[in-house]
Amino acid sequence: MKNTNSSQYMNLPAFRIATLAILIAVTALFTYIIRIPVAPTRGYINFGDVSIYFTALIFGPFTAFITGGVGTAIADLISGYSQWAPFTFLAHGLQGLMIGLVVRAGRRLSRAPKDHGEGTAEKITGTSAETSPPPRRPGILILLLAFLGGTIVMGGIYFLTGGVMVGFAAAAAEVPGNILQNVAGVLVGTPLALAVWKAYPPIRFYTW
Amino acid sequence: MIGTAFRPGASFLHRTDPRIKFFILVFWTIAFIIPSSVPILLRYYLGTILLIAAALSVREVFVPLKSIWPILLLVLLLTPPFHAGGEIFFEIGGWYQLTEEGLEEALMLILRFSGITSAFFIFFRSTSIDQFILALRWYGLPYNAALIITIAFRYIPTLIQLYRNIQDAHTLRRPPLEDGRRYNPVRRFAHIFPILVSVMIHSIKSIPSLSMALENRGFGHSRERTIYRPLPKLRTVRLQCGAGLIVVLAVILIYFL
Repeated sequence: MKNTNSSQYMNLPAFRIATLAILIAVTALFTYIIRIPVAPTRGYINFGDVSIYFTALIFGPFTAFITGGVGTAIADLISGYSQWAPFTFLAHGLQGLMIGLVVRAGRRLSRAPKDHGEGTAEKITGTSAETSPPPRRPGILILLLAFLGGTIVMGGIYFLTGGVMVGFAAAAAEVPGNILQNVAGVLVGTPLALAVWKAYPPIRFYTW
Repeated sequence: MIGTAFRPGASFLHRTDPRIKFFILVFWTIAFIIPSSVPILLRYYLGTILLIAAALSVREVFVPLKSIWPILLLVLLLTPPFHAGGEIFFEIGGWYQLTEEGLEEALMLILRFSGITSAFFIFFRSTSIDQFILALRWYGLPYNAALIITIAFRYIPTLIQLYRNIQDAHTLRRPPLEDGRRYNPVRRFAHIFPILVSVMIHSIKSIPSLSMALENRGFGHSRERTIYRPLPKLRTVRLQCGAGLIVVLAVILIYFL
């Protein structure tokens, strides 16, 4: 590995595997460890959705599908809720895919040059991290649509699978919590993506 | 690797091939999910807890229930009002009725969820993640996907340690927590955000070295794979396959008899 900023290197299978593995581990960490209590009833928000929004914004929909689905499913396995792991994989994987697709579609529709997302590495070959343009902030409308899409997909899958497992009355009680998770995801995940992009510019070469 | 529900042991379930256990788990879960009645689900659930008691211990029967009892309570309270058929057992002010049909539906859901939770518990209690991934490989999971999951499991403890270190460093640079003031989630979010940025950057920075390590170990040079601890050939575990088939047949018979 002579030059870590080379787009050729980023397209090697080893690099992709390393990226996916690390992002999965980060998603599992954010889900399993980082929790903020929000109510005296010991209710809490986990940060799994923050990591999913981050991955969808920086790395694109398909990376977000894999890392969101597998990372949160692993968190279920290690926290003793393995019965939810297959459904979590579907719910959070498709949530990441939906957010990434909406953000990507929004970027394509706008006329400004694409600055990050999948396929960027080829386009920015030869530019150094320091001279690359700063990231274009996703518009409020795109974020709102991504939030709505992600919430409907994630909440919908949990509601349907929860309905089969524990009945729709009990599954409906989980819906506000799922919406709150997504609110935290978009409110923290978006600034996180922008802050990481600003603080660590070489990240733009890590996408494919 | 990080700890999961797995506990090493020498029970017959620990010695059973993970592919057979995984097949039975999937079949067992489907049997719990397909529409049936309370007596059938009760027999399935009794079968599950008997298996746990025989293979592990009686105390282990209650371990999976500890984590799900609030949901079970919720099911018991919320399900009956939506099923108004049959005899009315009691009523609160005309808006909450506990009827025969409601109670039956609640019991069915409780048995289903407890059964599925116990089945997953006994599988992961007796199967290590390595064995589970090998079983998935046998069922067709691509090599690269298995490698990604294995590496992710390996990295989680490292990242947890990284998170704790960064959290400690940030705490040292912050004024002490305000005692006596009301808990404020927004302030908590504001405190945690710089930690998340640092954790994310440190994690992403480790990607090149990890990919370099993979390449140095010859990743991608050949499609020929060798496995350090392969699963035994299926013909060597014929007896276990036979036992697995008997379990599957028993589940089908219970459903139809």
